[in-house]
Amino acid sequence: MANEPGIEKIKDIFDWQGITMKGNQEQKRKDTTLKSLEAELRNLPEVEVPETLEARLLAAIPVRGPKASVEQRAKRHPGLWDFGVTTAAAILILALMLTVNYGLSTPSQTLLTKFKDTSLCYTGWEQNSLLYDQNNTLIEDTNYTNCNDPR
Amino acid sequence: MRHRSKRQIKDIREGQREAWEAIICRNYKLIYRFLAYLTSDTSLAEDLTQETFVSAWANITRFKGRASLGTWLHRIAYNKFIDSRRSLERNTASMAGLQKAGRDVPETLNPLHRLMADEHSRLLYEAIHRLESFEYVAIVLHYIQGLSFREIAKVLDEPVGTVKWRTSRALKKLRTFLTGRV
Repeated sequence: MANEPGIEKIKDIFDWQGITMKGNQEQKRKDTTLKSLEAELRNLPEVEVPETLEARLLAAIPVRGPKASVEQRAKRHPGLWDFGVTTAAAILILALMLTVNYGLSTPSQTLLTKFKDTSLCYTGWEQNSLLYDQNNTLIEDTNYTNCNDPR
Repeated sequence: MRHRSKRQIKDIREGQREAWEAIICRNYKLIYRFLAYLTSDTSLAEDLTQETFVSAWANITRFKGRASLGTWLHRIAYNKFIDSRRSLERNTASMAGLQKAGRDVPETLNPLHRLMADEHSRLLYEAIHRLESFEYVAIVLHYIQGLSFREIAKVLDEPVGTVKWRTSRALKKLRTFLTGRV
């Protein structure tokens, strides 16, 4: 009777269900433990606070007020702040204008701006002062050649 | 509530002492309890609480209001604790840390002695102390101080996800410690 396959199958199903139910119960128990643990942590007795602490803290407030931030200092003297900002901006703009108009340029830039004719032009210091035509063929080795010269 | 807090901050920035006194009265217990858990030493917790409020008063102009004032105070308190631990470690090289040293503090000086009265609380307290320092702080801030994960992330300057993960891991560790003991 015990060897009958149908009964074995039913037994297996019951065993499997038993294991699953056991597993579920275990999981449920674990979850409950975590939740109860959270609750226990939240319900721990409060730490006693010394009675004198409040008075001590109030007495410890410095006489000097809080440190003022840059914005606050600016708010206290708005006129001075505005004047400072305007002056700084004006100096910056002036410096920029001077740099653009009278600033030093590099030697190669100066030479290139002088020669309008592009058939022959100076290539700059970095190529050992050689003169090239448009096809980049070496014409002569010189330190300076005027490109506008009809020769 | 938030509006009132903003107004109080504005008053403090203008140097109104009364507004700062109100802030102290509302928050000092919370900050002291947090520091008591961190230090396990009454006098050190008191000193650090005082330092926290003095520092907060001096730097209130830096408080931008992105976090709540309570969170900001917790952050200052935590930094004060870290500073004190560093200076203590410098002075006493053999000391592993204040948290561990707290166990050697006499019962009367330990602000958490009330927890020891109840057997179950004592077991829980001892289990919390077995956690790593970051996990310990996260558990204290979340379950005892009642801060949200976002607020804890601001206090500890860590991503919210990291805080959540470490808190969850700490809770599981606690369960293991407790079920292993009982």
